[in-house]
Amino acid sequence: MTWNFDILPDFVFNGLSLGAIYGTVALSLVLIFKATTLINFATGELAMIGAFMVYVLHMEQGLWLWLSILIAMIISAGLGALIERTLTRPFDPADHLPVVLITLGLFLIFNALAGDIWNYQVRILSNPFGKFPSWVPGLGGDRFVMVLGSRLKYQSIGIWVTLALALFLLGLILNRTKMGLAFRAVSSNVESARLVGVHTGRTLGFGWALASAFGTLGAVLVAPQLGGVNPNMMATILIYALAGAALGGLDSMGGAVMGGVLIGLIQAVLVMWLGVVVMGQAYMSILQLAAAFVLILIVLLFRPSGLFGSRRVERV
Amino acid sequence: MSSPLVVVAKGGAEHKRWQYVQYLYLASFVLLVPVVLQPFEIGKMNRALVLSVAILAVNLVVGFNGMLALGHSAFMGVGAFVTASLVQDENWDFWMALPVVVMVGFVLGILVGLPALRVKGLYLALITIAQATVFPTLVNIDELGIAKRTGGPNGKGVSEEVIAPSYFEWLPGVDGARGGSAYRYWCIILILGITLLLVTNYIRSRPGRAVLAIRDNEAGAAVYGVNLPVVKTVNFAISAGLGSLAGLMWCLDKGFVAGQDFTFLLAVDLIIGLVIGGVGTLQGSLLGGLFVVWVNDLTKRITIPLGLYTLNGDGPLAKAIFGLILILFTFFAPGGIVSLAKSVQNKLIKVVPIRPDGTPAEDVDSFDPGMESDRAQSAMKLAILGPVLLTIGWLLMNVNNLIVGCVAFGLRFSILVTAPVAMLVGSNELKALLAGRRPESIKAQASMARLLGGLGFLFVLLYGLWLFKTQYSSR
Repeated sequence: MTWNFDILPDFVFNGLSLGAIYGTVALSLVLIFKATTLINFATGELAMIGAFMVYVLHMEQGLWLWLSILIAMIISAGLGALIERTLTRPFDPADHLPVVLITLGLFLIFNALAGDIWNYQVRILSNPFGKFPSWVPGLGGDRFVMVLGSRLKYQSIGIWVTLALALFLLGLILNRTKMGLAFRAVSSNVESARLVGVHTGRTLGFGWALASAFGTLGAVLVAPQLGGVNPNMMATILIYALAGAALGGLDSMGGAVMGGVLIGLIQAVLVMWLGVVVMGQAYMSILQLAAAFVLILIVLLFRPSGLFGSRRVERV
Repeated sequence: MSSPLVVVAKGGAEHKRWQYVQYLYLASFVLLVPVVLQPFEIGKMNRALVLSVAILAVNLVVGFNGMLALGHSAFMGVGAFVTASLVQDENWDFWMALPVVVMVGFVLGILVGLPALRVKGLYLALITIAQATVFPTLVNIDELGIAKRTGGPNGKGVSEEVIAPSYFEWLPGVDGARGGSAYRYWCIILILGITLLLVTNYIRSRPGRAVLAIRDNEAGAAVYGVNLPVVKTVNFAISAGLGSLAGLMWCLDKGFVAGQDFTFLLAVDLIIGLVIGGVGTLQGSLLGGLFVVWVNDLTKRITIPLGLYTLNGDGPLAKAIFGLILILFTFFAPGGIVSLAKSVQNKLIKVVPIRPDGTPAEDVDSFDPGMESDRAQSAMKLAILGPVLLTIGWLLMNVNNLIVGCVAFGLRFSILVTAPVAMLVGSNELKALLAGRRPESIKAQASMARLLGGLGFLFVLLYGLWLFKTQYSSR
């Protein structure tokens, strides 16, 4: 079989929207890494809890979807700040083992509690971007629009627009507010920031809060692609997000988004090449995950600080 | 009891006596397990010991070399699947498969270790967690005959039963109803013992010291001429080989392997066992395996009613409790059970190390409180406390409640420590009295402690012997 370029745009669109979600979760990882120099392995589970909050508020209590998303983001931001204050701040981030253990413990607790409360069935969460709204001329009610002979889903467009808006907002917060300035100061040098009077503890909590809110947004956006919410929904997403963050550089926010998008694209093209051209659909989910692993390995081998990350100098 | 009850010089006669007590307990534990426990309990013990070997493997990298490698479930999986394939498809014996499995793990460890160890700290944790997550999916790949070998999503059973040959039937527990699991227990104990011996010697050898030096100060080790990449990679590969060995033992024990058994959650279980046992200690690895299996067994019986919801322990809640325990240990006992046990031991017995010239590093006599000593009194309290706790524990056994049951279990075993300590301290004080360093008034207390402690210890020994005898002959 040979390449069939007619279906390429299909895969690219799909890859770009998946990649945007990976980028969102990777951004959540990077925000925490920049603030506290630790990788939060519970990021995915925190985001999953956020998605379940949206499920409870929207599907069970009947709130408007976007309002429930906003409330869930605020609650998970509070949860993130609380975790930072109570569980990670007592430890020295330079000593990696304790903080990794804490986040692993959180991973287990959140996953198991969600599993105990909502069990492991997939629960449908309504898609914020199911069909074009009626005010779009000529497309109202359609699920997709034909571009380059391929279907460009409204969902993909919605994800891109949401992510762009969220990034714009994040940029505003970080560049135009006092808290954002403090955050940038702390992430560049904690000691100096403390010396010039920045309240570092509060700023770290702020970083965790932002990160948790972003994770929740990512989980809500990815839920329709997975068929709904369930306690294990973020397990593979987290691996892709980790790959994206490693690719972009763990301390670069733009790099994280770029890395996530790249991972999504690579995954989509791999699906096309291996899945359709070489092997057939069945093996795809297997190889995608393995590919992400190999990619992490290669990136860290040849460019340990990622594509956009800054190199760290180690002193003895 | 602010000062330790007994102070002994390392390697002295009294220290040796204390060590003999420890060895005796260890030996009786090993011997009693297959004859006293029910077959399904022996099965759990087997699983715990298998996990101990895996935790030992993780410990080699995380505890002794300070590298955050968290993905050893993958190496275990490789070992288990290679074993299953060799035994089932190629009709090999388990013992023939053993060297092959360890070699496969070793080579795989070098392949993964070479690139992975160039990165440090959290990046390594990231890679190894990805490795643990990816492994169960790799098992299902249809190409290259992988799925045929591994059984794919259905898993692979090993139909060959592990049965004791006739010349091993004298082993405790092997003959009779619990034969199968008891024989597997002895196989696992044998492998575990040899592994422990080898690892202990490895850690004390020149490369082992280099591994420790890298953990303590990487740059310093390099300055002293340690070849960092080689030592790290070989250590990682040895650890991977051990992990594969644990996989073989898993296969030997369960007779069935599936990709779902070797997920990220197993890797987390290994980390939990490592941390709760004690990072960087050999005993900690053993305790960790026992802890993970038996505490999981306990948490399964818990139910928490919470208004609308009921949290049921026989489901995911067990994992949440493990997560909570992990966080609590990280906060309050980062040294794990081993450090807790050491702090208790230090209150009872202080071992003073010996200088190369044979004299104690600290003067043992300087710990002697002289005429003011209240050790005899404390020893007598301990000697009385043991039987009292034993009785209370025995009475509480009749209460049908999970927590009370656990407490009773612990109380009954407290005499194991109190009796020999009371005996040791009592005879020690009497010796000091003869030397004229104690007032005459302590004589009654000290001889009482010695007598009661001795009786208690005798009771423990005779009870263990009786238990062994009746169960061993009642087959």
